[in-house]
Amino acid sequence: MFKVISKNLLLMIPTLLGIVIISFSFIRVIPGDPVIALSGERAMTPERYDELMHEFGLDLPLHEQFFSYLGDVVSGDFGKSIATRRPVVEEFFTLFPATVELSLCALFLAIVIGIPVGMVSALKKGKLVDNLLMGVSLIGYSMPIFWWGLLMIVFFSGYLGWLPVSGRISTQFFIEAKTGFLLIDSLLSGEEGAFLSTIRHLTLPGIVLSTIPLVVIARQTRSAMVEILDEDYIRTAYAKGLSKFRVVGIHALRNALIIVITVIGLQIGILLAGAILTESIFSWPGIGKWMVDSIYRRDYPAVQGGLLFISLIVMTINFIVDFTYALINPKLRK
Amino acid sequence: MLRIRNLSVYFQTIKGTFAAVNNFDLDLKQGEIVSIVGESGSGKSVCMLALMGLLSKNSIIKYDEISFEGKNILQLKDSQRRSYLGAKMSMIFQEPISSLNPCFRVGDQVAEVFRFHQGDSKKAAQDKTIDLFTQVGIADAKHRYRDYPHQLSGGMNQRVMIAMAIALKPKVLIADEPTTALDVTIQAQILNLLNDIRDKYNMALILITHDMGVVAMMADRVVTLYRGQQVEISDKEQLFSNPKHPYTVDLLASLPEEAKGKRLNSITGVIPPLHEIFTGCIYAPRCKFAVPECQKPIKMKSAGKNHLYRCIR
Amino acid sequence: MGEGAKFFFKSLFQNKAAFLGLVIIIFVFALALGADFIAPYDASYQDRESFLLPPSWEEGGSSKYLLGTDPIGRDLLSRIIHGSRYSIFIGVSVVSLSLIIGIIGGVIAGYFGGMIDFVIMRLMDILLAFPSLLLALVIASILGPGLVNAAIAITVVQLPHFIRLTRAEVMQHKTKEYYTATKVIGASKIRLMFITLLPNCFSPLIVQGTLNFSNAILDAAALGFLGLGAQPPTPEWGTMLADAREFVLSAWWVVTFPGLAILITVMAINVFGDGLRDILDPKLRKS
Ligand SMILES: Nc1ncnc2c1ncn2[C@@H]1O[C@H](COP(=O)(O)OP(=O)(O)OP(=O)(O)O)[C@@H](O)[C@H]1O
Ligand SMILES: [Mg+2]
Repeated sequence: MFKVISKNLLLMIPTLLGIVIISFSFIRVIPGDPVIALSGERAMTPERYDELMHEFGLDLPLHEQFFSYLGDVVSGDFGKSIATRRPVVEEFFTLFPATVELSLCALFLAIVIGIPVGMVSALKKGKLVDNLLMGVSLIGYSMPIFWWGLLMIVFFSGYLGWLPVSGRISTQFFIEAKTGFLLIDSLLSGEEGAFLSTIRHLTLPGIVLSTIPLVVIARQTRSAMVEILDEDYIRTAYAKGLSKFRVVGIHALRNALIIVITVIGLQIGILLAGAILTESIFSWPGIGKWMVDSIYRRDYPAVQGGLLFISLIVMTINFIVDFTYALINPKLRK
Repeated sequence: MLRIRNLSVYFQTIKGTFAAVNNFDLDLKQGEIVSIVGESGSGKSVCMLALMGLLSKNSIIKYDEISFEGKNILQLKDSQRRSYLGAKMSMIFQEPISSLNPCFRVGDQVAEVFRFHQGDSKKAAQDKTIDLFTQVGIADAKHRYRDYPHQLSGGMNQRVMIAMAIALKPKVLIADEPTTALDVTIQAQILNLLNDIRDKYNMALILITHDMGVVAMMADRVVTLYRGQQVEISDKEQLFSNPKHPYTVDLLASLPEEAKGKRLNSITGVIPPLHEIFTGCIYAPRCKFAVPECQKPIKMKSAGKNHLYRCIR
Repeated sequence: MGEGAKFFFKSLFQNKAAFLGLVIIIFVFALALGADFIAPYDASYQDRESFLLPPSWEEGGSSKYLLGTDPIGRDLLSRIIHGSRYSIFIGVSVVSLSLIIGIIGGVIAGYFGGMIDFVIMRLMDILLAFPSLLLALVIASILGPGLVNAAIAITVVQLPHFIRLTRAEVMQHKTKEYYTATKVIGASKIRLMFITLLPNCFSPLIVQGTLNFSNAILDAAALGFLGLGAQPPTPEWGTMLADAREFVLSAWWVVTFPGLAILITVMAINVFGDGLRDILDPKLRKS
């Protein structure tokens, strides 16, 4: 197992370097002058231009520019947002909890619904229930999720008037950000109704964001289960006189989980991509919306820093998934 | 103790429904070893899986009588039937490695039998398992307990399977080609182990095999199966000295003294596919002695005490 | 018709869902080709009398506009029909581009192995480290908004799948006997790569291509929706949805129908792709 992990870690090095190169090049390939892109100042005197040029180090040879950028990145300096004049890192960590909260809720929904659905479908393979569940999952799989979000708003907010359309919490509450996770902060604040309001705001975006991962998890659980239920060791388990519940819920599921965990890990990227749309639709103040807004505002340093940050997070998570996989798969343990 | 009359098993497939086993009869007494022999695909496994109620859903089982200690186990309620499986009647499978769950420690898989059937505590089940491992010849049982199937050799896995099957001292043990997947040297060890266990617990053993060598070494009685049909049932001595059915003769002929233990492969031709319908003798197409008469339905004939065969000769 | 083709079509007819999917796909293609003749109005035709008219069966609807009109009085049905062109365009161009580049890259990586392979695979790792839509957004923002740029952005994002798949297939087939046999008689590298190995890798690539066709349509619609794909007044489905967003609580039809068009098209392709996979490559079912 140690071998697997160290190999994966080694393979990450060139990838990391590549990601830094991409984000370094980003500012230099966008249309327009990098000085303007980095400073956001449009009208300036030539003196000011030279001054900025020097400040950003753009007067240095390219490779020196790169190494100085690499140094900045390693020391945790991801640039400064034009719009807010704050370091990107700071900005990022203010907004990141909102995205994490939303994504975790979505992932939680996807797992607790997706796995049982996949199992039921596998057990009833070819029967009406299976066809029904897989039919619905196909709809979910093909759903443009921004449209799905709009439909939810039309129905639950517009027609029924049950749930709020945007934001993380009703504006009447002022919650001090202790952890950044409103579910926790609202409980800590002790304000009456704050927690409920948080839940109500979380519901629609949570459902919308969970849709694709849920469907993928359900389908993969089903196909893994179908295959496993045909295995010899399942027959052995029945031959031991075990109940169906135990055979399916323990012997089969344990094997299926090895596959499903990998699938769940792969959903992280999908979740972050989905968060971009979901957050835009529900005005959710997370990094997805922030990235889109930054692109709209031509806040290129923010986009550059955000891109780098997000890819680092994706890579870290992928690594953790590989690690978990190695941990739960006895064949890789030794 | 175990009595089967007229057991037939059908499979529903896209190509239609066909019989994999026809009118299978069996009587089993305590302590006895009955061997079921036949080529690959003759329905040996299907027959026993039907008895255990372990066949896939696309199967249809028909029978006149199945009784185990006077009870029809296939008609029991699910929970009652399960109390027999793995406890009074258990089975060892063809492929030891794929028959063990790759995700669980082999020890825990065996201990599960104690825990599930007897409600033993984790510790008690563990101790019993380690004890059992030693009995079936697993050295260093304590450490092997914690291994996963892929870490053990085929022979070791088969010992684990045997431990699992005999954990609760069953009345009937079905061993489905327990040595086919193993090295020749290991084969003899496993067979000896089975024999010892049978002596010790006085249980009945149904031994499925391809291998006439194994039959010669182990069996009291022999059932020869050809494409789902019993063609000869006899005591071992009689079968070896006076085989009646041409198929049995051919099987025995494929066992020259020096080739003992090898898979039989010298009969020409292959088993006709299951969807082909026969009215007469199924072996006729491959039989040296086939005559037009063979196309008529053929009944079992007696050739002396405890010796039946299905042939017009 | 060859034996294989016969089997293929027979299986396709037997798989009712996949067949239905194919019928819908053909229908959408037909709409795209014949939009000018089929659609009742021009995509940009404005009826200044009828803003936000509901569908004809609703109260206040007009029989002139079956699915109603949008905020500036354009016929929704006609715009959706014309919109099929853009989705088809995106799907076809993205899949063919990424197939071509992906096949060349994948065959080279798989055939040569070693350093070339390492570099290509690390490049793909880098691309995969970005959430796909985010990468597409950033690329589109670099290239500037527009349908063609969106197609390029999506191609880049989807490329890793094709390259990885082709590479895996090529590496697998390199161990087969027919390959060694051809190599022994001294066939050239190009021949070995593209004539000996490649045709044997087609089935999974076709399946992957089908599934990516639908992803391309979804991504393009998402880019349009976020304002970085096709630009208004292009009747691209995602762009139409973006236009309709502010009416989400007042005029449900402008939000519903373009999305439904996306859903149905994507679903048809997915069902067809699933069917293809079952027919062409049973072992792929796992992934
Ligand atoms: N689930 C099933 N569905 C359809 N046919 C089956 C099924 N299981 C077994 N069969 C068929 O039943 C026949 C008998 O199979 P069986 O496994 O009993 O043979 P066997 O005598 O045990 O052979 P082997 O020595 O190879 O184990 C075979 O032709 C097989 O194809
Ligand atoms: Mg068998």
